[in-house]
Amino acid sequence: MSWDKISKETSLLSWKDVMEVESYVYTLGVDGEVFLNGLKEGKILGRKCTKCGRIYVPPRMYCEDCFVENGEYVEAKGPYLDTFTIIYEDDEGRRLEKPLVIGLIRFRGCSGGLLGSVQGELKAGSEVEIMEYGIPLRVKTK
Amino acid sequence: MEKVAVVGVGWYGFSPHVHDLSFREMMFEAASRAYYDAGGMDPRKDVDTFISCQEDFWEGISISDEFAPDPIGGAMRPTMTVAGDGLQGVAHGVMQITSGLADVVVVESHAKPSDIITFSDVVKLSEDPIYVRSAKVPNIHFVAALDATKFLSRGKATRADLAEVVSKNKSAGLSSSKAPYAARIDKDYVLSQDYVLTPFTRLDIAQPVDAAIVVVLASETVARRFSDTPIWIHGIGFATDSSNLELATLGEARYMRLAAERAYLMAGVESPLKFRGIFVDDRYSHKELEHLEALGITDVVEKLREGYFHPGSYLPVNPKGGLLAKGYPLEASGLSLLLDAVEYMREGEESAIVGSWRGFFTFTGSVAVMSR
Repeated sequence: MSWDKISKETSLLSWKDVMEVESYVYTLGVDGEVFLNGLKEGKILGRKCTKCGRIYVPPRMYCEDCFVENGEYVEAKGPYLDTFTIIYEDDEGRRLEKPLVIGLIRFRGCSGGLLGSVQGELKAGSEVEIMEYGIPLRVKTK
Repeated sequence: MEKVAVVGVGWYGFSPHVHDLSFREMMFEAASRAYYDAGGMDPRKDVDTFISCQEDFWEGISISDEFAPDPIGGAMRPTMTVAGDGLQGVAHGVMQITSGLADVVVVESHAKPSDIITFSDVVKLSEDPIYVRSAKVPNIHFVAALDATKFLSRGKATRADLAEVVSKNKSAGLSSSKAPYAARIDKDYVLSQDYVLTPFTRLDIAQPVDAAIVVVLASETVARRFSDTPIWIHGIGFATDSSNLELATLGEARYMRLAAERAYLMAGVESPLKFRGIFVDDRYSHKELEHLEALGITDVVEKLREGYFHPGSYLPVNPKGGLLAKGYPLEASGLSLLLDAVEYMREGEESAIVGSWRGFFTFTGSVAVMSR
């Protein structure tokens, strides 16, 4: 055990370097491509388990419950606001010019969901209208 | 089956910024203290296996587990790493002892977040890159906030209850030697603060802290060679909910419930209310209540309001301040709660439950059932 410690800040040295993490290619995968192409057409696509019928949004190749390959793609309907937060500050503690509402948008009869930027009155469970298809979705509560 | 005891603990840091020591030196300091606490144990002779719990990105070094053995006395000795919370590492240590593989296991975890200049950027690298990170949400606490809003929407807890948790834990931390974020503040002061993001003010969110922690585990056969006051682990479990944000359960801690079921079954726990203390992850104020529910405690909000969980009351929860007062030392957070539980029982209390969470963007938790 070291009993001799340096207590004077100006006597300390530090070594600064850069950790390279800025460039990386993430493979979308089969279902990722189908999903993003669907978004371009204004559709939210999910994929249904052939065994239990669970529909995953975004679509997934396999069912985590049954561990079988999922089957058909289906269009998810009935979007609603499951939960939300109003963000006032960014990660550096700076106040945002305008608070940003981020919500988790789910779809009736489906598992999963997507992040959405939310406008309108905030109430968990409210149905929403999708104004813009992207990540995040842009939605307005009804 | 062989029983497992904690026979030594050591820590170093619990400061927002340990200026002078590298994380490896902090590990050495914590290990030296743990071996002293375990009756002057010699790690080069007395320890069978070593376990280090860590994540590469935090250290800014890839494959940082290569550096795990030597600062804790494990050079060229059987060492494994756990990419997860320290309490998961303890679970692995328990398995090594109960399976007969080892009699003495050392579990280590550490954190030096003060070295991470772009902390939030590193945190974001743990988000799903396509469906979550690409949304460019400007605050890393948003997943916890979505979880907290869902928790509150169930209609039992209110914003004032979260403020009560903050007040209780930050005040309780004043009695701890390792709680730099402790403060005597009341509920109204918390409620008067601006939101960072709903439903959290700055006070509802625990801050990172530099710390290294080492725990020495021993089988029942050898435990009393190293300690007159072993603390027994009767049950331990860990579990992960669906690992994707959109599929995981929000508003309740399913991971903790699954981990508790496993630990309680192993320990034969009838009711968590029979324990003398609970040390549970509170890195966001609502998490304390959510985790208590998952540990099987009913009417959590009512009990909080009645003072049931306050220090000295029926079932003290985080009586040494929790992570809101101590800060959260990344992967060492679970060990920091276990450390509090061990100290609490050494001070005379009979039993405790520890419940840890792996933190940001994870849905993994661990539970340990312990007694004197």
